[in-house]
Amino acid sequence: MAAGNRWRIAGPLELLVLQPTPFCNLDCAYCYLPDRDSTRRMSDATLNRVFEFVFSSRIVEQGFTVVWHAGEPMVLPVAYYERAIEIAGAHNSGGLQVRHSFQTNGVLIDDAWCDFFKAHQVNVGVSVDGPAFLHDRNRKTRKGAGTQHRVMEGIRQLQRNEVPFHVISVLTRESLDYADELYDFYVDNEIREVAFNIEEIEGPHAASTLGGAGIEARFRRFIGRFFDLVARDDMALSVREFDSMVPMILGANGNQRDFPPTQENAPCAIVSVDCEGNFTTYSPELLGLKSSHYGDFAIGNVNTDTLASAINSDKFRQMSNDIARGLGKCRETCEYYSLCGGGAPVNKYFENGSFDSAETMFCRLNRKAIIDVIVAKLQPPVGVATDAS
Amino acid sequence: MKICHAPRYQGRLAVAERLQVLRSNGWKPASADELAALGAADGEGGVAVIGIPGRLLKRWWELVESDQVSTGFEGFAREIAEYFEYKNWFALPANLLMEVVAASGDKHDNELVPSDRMRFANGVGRALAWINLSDENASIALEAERMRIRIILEPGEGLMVPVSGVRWNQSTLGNSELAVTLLIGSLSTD
Repeated sequence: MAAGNRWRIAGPLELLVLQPTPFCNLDCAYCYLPDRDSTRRMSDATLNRVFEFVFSSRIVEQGFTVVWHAGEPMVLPVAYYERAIEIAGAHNSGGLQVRHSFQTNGVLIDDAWCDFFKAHQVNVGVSVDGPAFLHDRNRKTRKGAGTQHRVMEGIRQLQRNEVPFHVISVLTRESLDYADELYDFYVDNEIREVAFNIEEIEGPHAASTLGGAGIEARFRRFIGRFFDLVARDDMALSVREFDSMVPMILGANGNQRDFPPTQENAPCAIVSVDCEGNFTTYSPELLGLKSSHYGDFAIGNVNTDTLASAINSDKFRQMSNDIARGLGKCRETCEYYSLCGGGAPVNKYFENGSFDSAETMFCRLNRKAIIDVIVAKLQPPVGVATDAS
Repeated sequence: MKICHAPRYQGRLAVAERLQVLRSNGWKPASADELAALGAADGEGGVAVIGIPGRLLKRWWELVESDQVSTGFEGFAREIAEYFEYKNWFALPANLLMEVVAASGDKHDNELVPSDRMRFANGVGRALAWINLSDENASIALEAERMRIRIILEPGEGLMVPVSGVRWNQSTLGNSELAVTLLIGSLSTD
């Protein structure tokens, strides 16, 4: 999907985030999901309505990805998803390419799940924060026990069954001193693709260990060290933050105004639907969170509303205008805009109290620090002539 | 002088599992009182247990097995220095030196030597750290709180010593035949 298509009123849809259930079998310290004790699930009727709603809307032009998330998707049985994929297919009369993706904590992966992933070419992301001494600090069972050994059993299942996967690791204050240990963990466990999320401030998770003084310098040190380790092995480990940013940095032309906003800033590039059919757009994390300004961030319900009525609602217009103004501030004030695309609305709201704002901790760490480190690493050593010279 | 784990290092063994005291009948685990006297919270002791990543230990043995120590040691040492720098364990001196010594299983712990007047291959200097490059546990004997103690180190682990120096030597564990140690120090400019 060309990023340039995001200059439009709504869509095209790139990600459909579906919450099959808000329930999670774990109780991670930094989780932002407000309702993870609830065992509600998205009914067949709502599933039907979601796909009818999406395929009949004008925001679907080409294929899109369905992400099953916002709770632990694998607490529901494989049969649930077999049926869901069947329902999606029944509404896909145009034969568009619809990819399914699971973001899971990994502890329930078994052979039956692996067969399902392979049969439907599901993109699997497993959350693991590295070696047990890092992972188990935050990713715990409801009784407070560490989960790393169970996640690794899940990863072994995927590997034995030759199911491709990537991992997402949340970086906390503690992680920043352990770049080598993290790198060795991925390499030793034959994990080929890694994405780093930072411990963000979102909804009920109102404070991050990355918020204190001196963290930015430590974060830069960590990223620099990790980049060196990856580069030393000829980038054999794929790191989302490096893989996505390096080509952009090398190709940056500095023409900020032509750069489109990111998915999270583009209306209906992402649509997130909770298990009751309530839906929102922009950052998926907004789904289910409360707001003093908007009440919540749901702009409609697939069972009662159309997309047209939702985007004509006062709430959507207010959110959309605020997000657009925040994006404008980024464009006007931030020299990193051409490589970033405007940050994440959810962070702006929960850190700054408004979508109509610019810099956040996410920007300082996950954008500015990473860009600065990569730019510095890509500079030729002083005295070395480049082709252009 | 107290023993601790260095900040930003996660060892598998606790200090209590590493620490032994020399008694009339040989090396024995430290008692609770001795542990209280010798142990310190992470980062708060004079002698700190550190470790290099498994990747670097493996690199060392690849150099040995491919008979490329002479050509590959400089790169290996540079990686060790970069790792220490990232961990911020101590300021790397301008005259940093590293050398690998192999010692037979003879008793060395009868005689301790001062770490601040070490004889290196290229002269005399101050030892800053030792790393166990063997593929089995090793130990370093020290003088601490008027006791002769030793600290057990797993492969890739080592000790970082205070600038004020300690008296130390290698100590043979069980049936170990050869202890391979990376000495990290600074050469005296006197």
